[in-house]
This record gives sequence, C-alpha cells and structure tokens, in this order.
Amino acid sequence: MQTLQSVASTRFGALDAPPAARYRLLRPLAGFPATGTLIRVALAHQAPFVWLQSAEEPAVAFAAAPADLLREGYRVELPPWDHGLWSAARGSETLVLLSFKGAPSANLAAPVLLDPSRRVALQVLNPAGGWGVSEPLERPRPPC
Amino acid sequence: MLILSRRKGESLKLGDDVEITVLRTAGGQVSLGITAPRTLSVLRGELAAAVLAQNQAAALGAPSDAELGALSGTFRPAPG
Repeated sequence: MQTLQSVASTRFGALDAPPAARYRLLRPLAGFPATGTLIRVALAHQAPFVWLQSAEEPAVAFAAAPADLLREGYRVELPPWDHGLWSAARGSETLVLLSFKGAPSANLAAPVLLDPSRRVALQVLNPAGGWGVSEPLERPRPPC
Repeated sequence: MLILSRRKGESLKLGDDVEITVLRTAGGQVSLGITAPRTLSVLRGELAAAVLAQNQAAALGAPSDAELGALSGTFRPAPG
C-alpha cells in the first residue's frame, strides 16, 4: 500500500507525494541546508521538464531537465569523495537544475542524481566535460 | 581567521589526515599539494560558491508554469 505524504508547496499547493516521488538527499543541496527530501513532480504538459520540490521548505522548488536532453553524450563522473555515497543503479536519473533568472540556463556542472530504487538523491560536482554552472538552455543540435 | 606564513616546500597539517604543502609560488599564484582522505571533498572556493549561488538562482528564478509549458514543446523529442 502506498502512503501518500502531504507536502506544502507555494507553487503546487498541497502535494500528495507517493513514496516513489520522494527522494532523500544524501547531502543537502548547497544553499539549502533545511531541505532533506525532494519531491519529484512531473506534469504531463511540461514534459520532459520536471520539478524538484523541497519537502521541508514550501517556497523552494527547482525546475529541472534530464541532462542528456540538453547535451548529447552528457556523462557524470563521480568525484572521489562521493564514491562511498553513490553507486549508480539501474534506472538512475541525471537531472540538471534550471534557472530563469536572466537568460534561461542549466547547471551542468552540478547535476542532481536520483536513484529510484533506493529513493535517494545527491547533487554532485561533475568534473567530466568541463561544464559550467550556467550553461545556455538549448536543445542539442542534430548531427550533420 | 588564523593566518600563517609558509615558504615553498613547507606545509600545514589539518587534523591527522590532511596536509597542505606549498609547491610553487610564481606570478601571484600559489600551487598547493593536498594530501587528504578520498572521502573528503576538496573544492576550489569559487566553484563551491558558484554552485551555491546557482542553486539559489534556480530556486528564486524558477520559471512560471506557463513559461515551462511553452518551453517543453521545444524540447520534447520529435515523434519517431
């Protein structure tokens, strides 16, 4: 039986979050020490984008996108200090946080990994690819 | 803030496990060698600050539902 958890959200009102949508952060997001759990909110009319709503801070919600949607071949290398924290599981998801403050941008340097099997999440600093924290939000160009 | 002066080849110990050695100084830059357990994160200060600032910008600058909905059409994979 699924236990719905009601989460207050400034953006969505009262969210009924099933266990499958709740991800415990293995380490707080930088700047948000009070957030321990993210609720993954996927709305059909906004696909492929999703929201990561803080379970503890109603006003904190991040728009996010699958990393490989923005940059073809995007890959994550775990920094050595995260090897003990994270092991990639089948079905893991790599999301990047979007900002619309100024020109829309994506933080490809610090993606958020979601593991649906353990229902945990971790923001990592990705040394692979030399990506920046504020990359233009654009669709990958089709190969010539 | 504790302020210490070090010369090339000299080091600092932080606790039992961390040692920072001055390797080179040239042109206003200092090269440091850091010996630390692999479980300890070692980041350039400006990178940690940039991630924090960008997380806050992402929360404060989150798009409206309409903005994200409009953008989703651009990013939705074309039907195959």
